[in-house]
Amino acid sequence: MTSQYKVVNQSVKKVDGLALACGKPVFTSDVNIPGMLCVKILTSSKAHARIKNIDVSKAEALEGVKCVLCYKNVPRVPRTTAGQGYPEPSPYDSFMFDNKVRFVGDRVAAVAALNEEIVDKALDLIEVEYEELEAVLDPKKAMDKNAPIIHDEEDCHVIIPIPYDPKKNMCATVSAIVGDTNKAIAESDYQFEVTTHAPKAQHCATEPHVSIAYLDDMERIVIKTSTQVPYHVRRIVANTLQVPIKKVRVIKPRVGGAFGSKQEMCFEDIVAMVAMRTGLPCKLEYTREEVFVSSRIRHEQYVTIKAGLNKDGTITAFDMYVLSNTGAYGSHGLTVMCNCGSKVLPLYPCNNLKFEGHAVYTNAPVAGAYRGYGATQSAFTMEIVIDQMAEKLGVDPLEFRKTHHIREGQGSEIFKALGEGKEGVEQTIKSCGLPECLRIGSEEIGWKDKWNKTKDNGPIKRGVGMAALMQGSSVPEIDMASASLKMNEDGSFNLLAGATDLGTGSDTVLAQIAAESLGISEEDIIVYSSDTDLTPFDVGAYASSTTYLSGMAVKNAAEEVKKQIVQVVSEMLNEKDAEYSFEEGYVKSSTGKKLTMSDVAMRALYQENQFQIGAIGSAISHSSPPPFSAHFVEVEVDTETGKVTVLKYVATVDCGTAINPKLAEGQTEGAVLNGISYAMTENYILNDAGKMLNPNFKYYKTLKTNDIKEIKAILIPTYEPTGPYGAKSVSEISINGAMPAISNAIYNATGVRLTDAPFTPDRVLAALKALK
Amino acid sequence: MEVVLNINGKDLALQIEPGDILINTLRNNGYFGPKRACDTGDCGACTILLDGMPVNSCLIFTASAVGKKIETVESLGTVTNPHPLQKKFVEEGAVQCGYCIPGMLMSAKALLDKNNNPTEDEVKAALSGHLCRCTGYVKQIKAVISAAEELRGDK
Amino acid sequence: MRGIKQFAKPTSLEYALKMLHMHQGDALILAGGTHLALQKQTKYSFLIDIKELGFNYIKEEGDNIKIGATTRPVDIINSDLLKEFAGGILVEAASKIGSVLTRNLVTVGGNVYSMFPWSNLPSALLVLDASVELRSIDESRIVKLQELLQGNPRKFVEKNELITSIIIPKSSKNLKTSYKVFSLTENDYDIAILAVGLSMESSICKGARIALGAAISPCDLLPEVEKILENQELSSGLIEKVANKAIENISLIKDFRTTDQHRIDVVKILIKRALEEIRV
Repeated sequence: MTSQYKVVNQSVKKVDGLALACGKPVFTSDVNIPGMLCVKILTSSKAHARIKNIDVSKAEALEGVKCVLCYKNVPRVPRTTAGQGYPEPSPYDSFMFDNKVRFVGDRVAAVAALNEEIVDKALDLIEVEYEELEAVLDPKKAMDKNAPIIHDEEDCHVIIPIPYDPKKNMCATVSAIVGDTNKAIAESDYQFEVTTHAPKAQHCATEPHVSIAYLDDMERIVIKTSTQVPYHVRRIVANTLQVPIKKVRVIKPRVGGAFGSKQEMCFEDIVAMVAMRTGLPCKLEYTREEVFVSSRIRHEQYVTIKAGLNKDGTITAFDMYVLSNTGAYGSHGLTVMCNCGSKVLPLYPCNNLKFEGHAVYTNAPVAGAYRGYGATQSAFTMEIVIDQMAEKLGVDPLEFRKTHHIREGQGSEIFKALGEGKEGVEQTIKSCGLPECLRIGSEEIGWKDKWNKTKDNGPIKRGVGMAALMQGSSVPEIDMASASLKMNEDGSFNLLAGATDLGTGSDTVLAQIAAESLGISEEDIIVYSSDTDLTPFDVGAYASSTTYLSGMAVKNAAEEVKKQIVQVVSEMLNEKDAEYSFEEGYVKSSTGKKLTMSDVAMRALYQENQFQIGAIGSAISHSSPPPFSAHFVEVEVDTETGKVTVLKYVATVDCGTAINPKLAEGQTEGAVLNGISYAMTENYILNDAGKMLNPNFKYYKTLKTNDIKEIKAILIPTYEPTGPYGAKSVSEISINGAMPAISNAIYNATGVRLTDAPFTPDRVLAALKALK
Repeated sequence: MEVVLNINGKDLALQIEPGDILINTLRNNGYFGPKRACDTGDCGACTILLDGMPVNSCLIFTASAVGKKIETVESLGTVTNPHPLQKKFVEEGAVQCGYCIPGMLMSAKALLDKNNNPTEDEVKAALSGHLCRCTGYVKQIKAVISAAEELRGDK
Repeated sequence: MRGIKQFAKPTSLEYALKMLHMHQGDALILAGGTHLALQKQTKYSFLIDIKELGFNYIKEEGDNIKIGATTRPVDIINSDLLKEFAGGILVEAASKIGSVLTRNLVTVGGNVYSMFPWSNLPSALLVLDASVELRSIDESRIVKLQELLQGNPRKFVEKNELITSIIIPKSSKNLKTSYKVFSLTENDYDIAILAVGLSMESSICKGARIALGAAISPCDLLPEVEKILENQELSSGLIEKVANKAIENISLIKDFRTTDQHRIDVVKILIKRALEEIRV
């Protein structure tokens, strides 16, 4: 591929790739400090109970135990564990420890001791007296008048003016109305109503959550942790421990995947408290079972879309209702729900729009951020409705989408009506590659030959299905990112970025942006990211923001640095009015002279009018330009066993300029595979008592190489004028397609419509039998 | 008990407990390649070669490994002198978070040791004990085939 | 694993049996170890690793094929002898065990002894009419696999006994076989396993062995439907009859992995498909 760029839009090697491939000790769990204590959490075996009493004296008395924490000996500070900007739109409804447990897996106490064996013994010695309370797991039942109240404590509250009614188990409600949907639907030629159920799911990052804390020489608390949000963690921990922010430093080593599960202060408060109390280094590492049960999961949602369509093909109205199960705490409860509307409703413009939602507390494990963030759940519903509309009109769903999707220059009232805890931001689409995505994707799957062309070939039926998608890039008018560049003698630069690389490759992408801007090789950029003492502020890696927003911050820093370089160069060349360009490691003057970057640095650092060439660049986003994507899938349905096999999956993605095409493809392929397994095999099962029955990879099934046939990611280049070098986001969007596309493909193959994921063989077979 | 383990070609005398598990012994002695991820032998992140065969080091008693050849990813190559597999994994974009990669590389190595021209299906079969959540496995499969080419001298 | 005080890796059977005898009730046998290694704590204090006893073999011995107890799935998969034997049903079964990694660790003896519902080998071995050789310091006995499984291996095998080999009569060599599993993902524990071995004379079934695993516990032969097949022409109609009959009086496992009805449907379909495969 030819490109107008030298470094961006090139698949340069990931800056940390070889260190990772050589198995270097780069992850938090690889850090070993002599004398480090082992910390573990005693979790609740009850879904809902008051702790009448807890006796930790025997545990404390055990030889080798250094610290036992429980609600009796830590400050009671309401906070949210959600890693969001301040003031957070999630309720302050959790505590370091409480005298109440609200789900199986909730915190009861923590023990720090010399080794794991002693910790395990000590945990057994803690005596907890529970008063068991009625539990509610179903979000519909949690809204009943007589439902048990999960947050009956008086001190839970919200810190921004948003609807919050914990006495009714209501974590958040939202409503946004444009036009009159009831009237429009009633007057339409055709009416539609679809309800889907998107289940709970765990992110299954291969690296379990892990944190280390110790005191530095000045007795400040240093936390090394596997997180997406180091700055938010610092702020939340300081508040929870009631220490000034300056007393806390958060460092993020390499992260072994996160996908939203680490956009959360899961237990950094505990290790920090242990370090503060004991003065000793300590480590807490979740087991896989704890990751499943006690970290965070996807919001289970029932999404209903009512819609109207006229015979001439006009979509008259969409009315979306979301019932979201936020579990025992309200982390990301409001915002995930809002995203169901704001990232899905604008895709097919129409005049009447309504969005309503309830995020409800239950005694289920805690939901949080998960790649896709609500759009996954509601795109499932929307893309089924769109297929039904096409069917009603008797047209190919591909053609229907082509004629109905949003275009460049168009906006949506919903952008303004629906924000994240406040009103949204008006925006029009400045780049949209969806037409190309649809064209190329449909050709790759062979849509014209395969759709609705099912031949009777015995019990195995084949079909194709599709979905069109959009997401966003950052949270507009809320998110901020910054980065600093510092020049070294040899013309290399230190790039200190607040942005958080989770394995996504953002360090590489940011280095490419800096290098492109400075006209040097990415190998001359030394990236260090995510250390609250050293790197400037960044909200962290979430909301598909890093490439777009942190990338812009890096570009801004580079532009500032270039000004400083130009100043030095003009002094060196004694030129006043020359123009300068940055190419191939040189600063070139319009007069034909050129200097190496090293020449400039040596002069600035050692020779005359010395100063450090360097700058901090910041960026805020005024819009959240959507990437677009079209997904196509061919499936095979075994109508005798109900087993569905994905034969081929094609994802075409418009992410603007792909800063690093291979990494962008990788993001897409990974999101697709996660989407497929969410749709097909991942079954997060709670029993009636709220206990998870399959908290391990033996029974919670994600896909491996022998389960996949063919996945193809195709990037469709566009140019987003507000993004760095035309870039938009890429990380989340492609997890949203599999549920609707596979549901549509199963329908195409068999006539059976599945709206309850995952589409496990038992469900598919039951649906097939019901059809007969 | 005192044992001698042969790790990456070197004999190492160690004091262990009779119930110790190999992944912990390796990690406690500076071999960080094997990663802990699932606790149940289902993800392959801790994969090592035992007498040339890829196995989960979380399922092996340390004492059982005495007298056998243990190879971890640290035996493959270095940042300045990577093994073709490591090189290709990086070049093809097969490394995202990288947590599963050291284990996966060992399975890939065992495959290429006995089959220097594997088909895509053979690569899929060889890597099928490994869970990666970042990728769609597409680039990893490609990287193994591409490394095989380099090892054969085709490229 | 906490609690283990001593680890032994004997190199002779006699010594291993002596140790087992001395420490009986306090000793754990370590073969593949894939199950043991995951246990955090044990009440046993003695661990006897039997992988150096020379029991990793697959050989012909008189009228039998003998598979040593510490033979691994990977060894079965690579065995030319077993590839040819009874349509390669053991190779097929071995290739379904666990993952490509655990197939390098698991042992035949362990797979039979542990007898998890989803263990892949026992159903295939039942079809082949296998027996199990047990040794103790003063006794050697050979029992039918079916007898061992029905008696619950953990109770049936005495505390001072070792499974040393699996014995398969060569008379099973010409069975027409089929081995079918149903699972959610390739590496997942099977929801149902079906192994079939028929002695066919042209299209007539002279004798049948059908074993069901994973859906029932322990896995077992289905004598009632085997009888239906005997001396009958293997027709589509008969196969349908057999599949329907098989699920009539059967008590299937119930768990969260699938619904009861689906498990029944799957068992029925596997029987049908396995027999159809042989018919065609």
